[in-house]
Amino acid sequence: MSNPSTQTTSAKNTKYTRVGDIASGRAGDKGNVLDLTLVARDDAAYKWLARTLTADTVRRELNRVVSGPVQRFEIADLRALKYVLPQALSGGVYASLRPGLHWQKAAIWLLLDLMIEEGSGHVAWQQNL
Amino acid sequence: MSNDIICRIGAGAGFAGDRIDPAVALAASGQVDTVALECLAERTLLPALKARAADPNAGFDVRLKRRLTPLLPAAHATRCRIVSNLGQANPRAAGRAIAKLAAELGCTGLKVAAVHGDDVMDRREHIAWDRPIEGGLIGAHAYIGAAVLSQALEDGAGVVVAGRVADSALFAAPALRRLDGSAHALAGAMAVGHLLECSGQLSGGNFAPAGGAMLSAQDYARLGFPLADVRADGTAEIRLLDGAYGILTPETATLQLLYEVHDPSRYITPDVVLDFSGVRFELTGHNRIRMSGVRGHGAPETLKVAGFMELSGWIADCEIGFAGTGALDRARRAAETLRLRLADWTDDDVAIDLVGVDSILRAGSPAMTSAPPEVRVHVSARCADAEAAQVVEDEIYAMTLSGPAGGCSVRSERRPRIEVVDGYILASLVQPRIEWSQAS
Repeated sequence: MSNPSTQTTSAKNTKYTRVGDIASGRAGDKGNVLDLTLVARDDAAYKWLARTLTADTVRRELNRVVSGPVQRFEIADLRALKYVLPQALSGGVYASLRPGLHWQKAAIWLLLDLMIEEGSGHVAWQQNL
Repeated sequence: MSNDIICRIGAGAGFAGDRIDPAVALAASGQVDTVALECLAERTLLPALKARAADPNAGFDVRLKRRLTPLLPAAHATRCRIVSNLGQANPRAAGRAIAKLAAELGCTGLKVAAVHGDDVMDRREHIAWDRPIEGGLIGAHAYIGAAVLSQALEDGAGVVVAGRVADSALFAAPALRRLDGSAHALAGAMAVGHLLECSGQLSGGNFAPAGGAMLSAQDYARLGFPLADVRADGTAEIRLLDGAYGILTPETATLQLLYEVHDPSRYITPDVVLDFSGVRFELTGHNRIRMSGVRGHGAPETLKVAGFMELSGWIADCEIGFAGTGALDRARRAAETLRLRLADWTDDDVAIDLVGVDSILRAGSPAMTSAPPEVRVHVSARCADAEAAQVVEDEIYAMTLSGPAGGCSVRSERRPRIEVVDGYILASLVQPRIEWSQAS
């Protein structure tokens, strides 16, 4: 696989970095609970993500798609952040009104597609830039 | 104290429908002494319970024969043992079926241990549920631990077949009696199990590194499943067979270690509570890592129970396609039309969106950069009964005659309304047992 490089997007003279360009991720589910894991590609990316993608910020951005609170865990030795959303998949896999089963496998893109402004650390939805 | 390798465990399956050839490759390699196969999701147990109710000799994995016909001879030839939960709702019947199949395949003398006792439906008054049970409870199964599986292996089982068992326990059982006795070692073996239990998800499946690169189609098509060399202190080297396709790195391991884990310092298994906060992964070679630093904090007093409720009614899930110039506009108009036609459904009970645009991530979908050449309108609706589901299906079909031009390629499915509810039962109330059969 090729070595990924950081991509920045310019909008209104500011530079944003897409989370998915500096971290990998995976979504999981147990009953109503959605869990999202990010693994930063290096220590600097981990520190930046840990500082900017707070539980409150992630809740604000993800609540447009899934409901309820967000709890965050930090696993610094593994450069990983874990977000747990206990009410996001209300009713579980079978209650979903999305096509087919297991839409939540794609839910990690709700985090990977967030954009972080360099400097301010402001977090924004990709399509809102 | 020596810290020798105490067992070599291969990941043979991560779900009931998983690929069969990677398990056969591991068993035939001579590099593992046990292949463990996870074949029982919550959703898999429900049809198995229904099958058992209809026939006392059914209710195990319907893929048993297809999966084990190539695997049993390969494993028998290298003296590799098999541990699996493919017994589903009826491990004893599965054990008898495996012994018979092994005899037909010439695996003479093979001892099969069926582990049962996870079905706690008859002790339901002792289960503390997370939320009230609505409708009928169809089944209740406790997640049992590794001890009984380990007992079966130590008593000479060539195959151990169980029903509801903690997934990680299937993979940790071969190590259990040979560990150094510390809680941390036990936790290490369980963490190995947790890493292996989703097969290809540790070795490059469902994985994109930062930046989004993919493996080749050849890698995905022939993805090797991982194996672990476990040491007495619960540390392990986790790797792919030489020349296997896929990728296994500290990054793929970290993603799998934390997969479906909530508090990483408190991951509860029946045998021990795991703390992943000090875990380290070190790259030690090509597709080869070393895991250390897992801590363990005693066994919980209760076992988790999965309960199944079937609610009345259905979810109707249907689509109609539009193609050619203007497909997106016609699809959008059809979606608006369908919302008007399905006026009896509240917004909470119907979803109408566009496959190829926003049906999965909804408001979290990236913006469209150009109009797609074809689009499908998707409707899912909660329906009180089969007749209501047919109304939804018919309304979709009616778009072909009374909707925007070119509505086509209609499809629909109905899903029963199943809910899984978690509960807890005192571990002392669950006494797993072993029933033996032998290939003559």
